[in-house]
Amino acid sequence: MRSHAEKTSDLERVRRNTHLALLVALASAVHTIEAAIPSPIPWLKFGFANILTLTAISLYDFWAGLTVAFLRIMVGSLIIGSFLTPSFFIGLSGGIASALVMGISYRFLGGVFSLVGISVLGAYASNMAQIGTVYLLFIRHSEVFMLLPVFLGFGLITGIINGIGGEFLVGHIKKLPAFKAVV
Amino acid sequence: MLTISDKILIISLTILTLFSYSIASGGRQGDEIRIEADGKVIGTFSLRKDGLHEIKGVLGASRIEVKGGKTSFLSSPCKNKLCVHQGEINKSGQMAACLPNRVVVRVLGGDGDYDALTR
Repeated sequence: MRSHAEKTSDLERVRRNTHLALLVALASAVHTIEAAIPSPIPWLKFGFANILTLTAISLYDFWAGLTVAFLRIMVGSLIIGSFLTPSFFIGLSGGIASALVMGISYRFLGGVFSLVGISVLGAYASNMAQIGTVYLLFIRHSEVFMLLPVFLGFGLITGIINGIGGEFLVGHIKKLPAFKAVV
Repeated sequence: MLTISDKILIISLTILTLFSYSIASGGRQGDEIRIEADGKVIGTFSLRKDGLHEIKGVLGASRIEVKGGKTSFLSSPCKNKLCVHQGEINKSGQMAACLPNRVVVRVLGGDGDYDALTR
C-alpha cells in the first residue's frame, strides 16, 4: 500500500505532463497555422506559439517552458516540412533562447514585470539569437546585422502582443477546475 | 495589466532599437572602391584620391568618378542610365551598378564595425 503523499506527487506529475502535452499540441498547431501566413522576411514571424511557452513558464517553471518550446519546434517543423532546413535551425535557436530568457527572467523578475515584459525580453532574445544563427551558419557577412534594428523593432511589437495573449490565456486557464489544483 | 517596470522596459527597448537603427543605417565612410566588369575585378582604388576611371564593360566604356571621398557613375553606355541617376555613394557596403554594361562599383572598408551590436 503506497502512502498518500506518494500518490499526491504521482498525481501532480501526471497532471503536469498532461498539461504540458496539451500546451505542446496547441503550440504545434499555432506554429503550423502561422507558417501559412506570408511574411516579407522568412524568419520575421509573430511567434504566437510563444504564448504557450509563456503560459508553461507561468503555470509551472523554466523547464516546462523549455520543453514546450523545444517540442513545439520539433513537431511543428515536421508538420510543415521544414525540419533540418535553415529556417528550422533559425527558429530553434530563437525558440530556445526566448524560452531560456523568459524562464530565467520570470523566475527572478516575475514580481517586477508582468508577462508582457517577460515576453518582450523573450522576443528580443529570440530575434538576436536568430540573427546570430543566420550569421554563424548561413550568411557570413557583417551586413546581416544591418537587419538587427528591423528585427528588434518587430520583436518589440510581437513581444507586447504575445505578452498580452499570455496574460489572457493564463488568466483564463487559472479559472479552469483542472488547473485550479496546481496554481 | 502593464506594470510600471513593464512600461520602463518597453520605452528603454524602444530607445535602444531606434539607437541601433541609427548605427546600422548610418554606415561608415568607405576607404576604397572595387570596380568589377563582367564579373572580374578590375581593381581597387582609394576613395581619398580624386580620379576618373574608364571601365570597359560589355557595351562600352563606363566612366566612374571619385571626388571628395564619394564615387559615382558619370556616364555609361546603357539605355536607362539608372547607374548615373543613382548619384554619389560613399558608405561602406554601398554599391552602384550598371547591369546592362555589367560594371559594378562597391565601396569597401570600415568592415567589422558591427561587432558591438552582437554583444
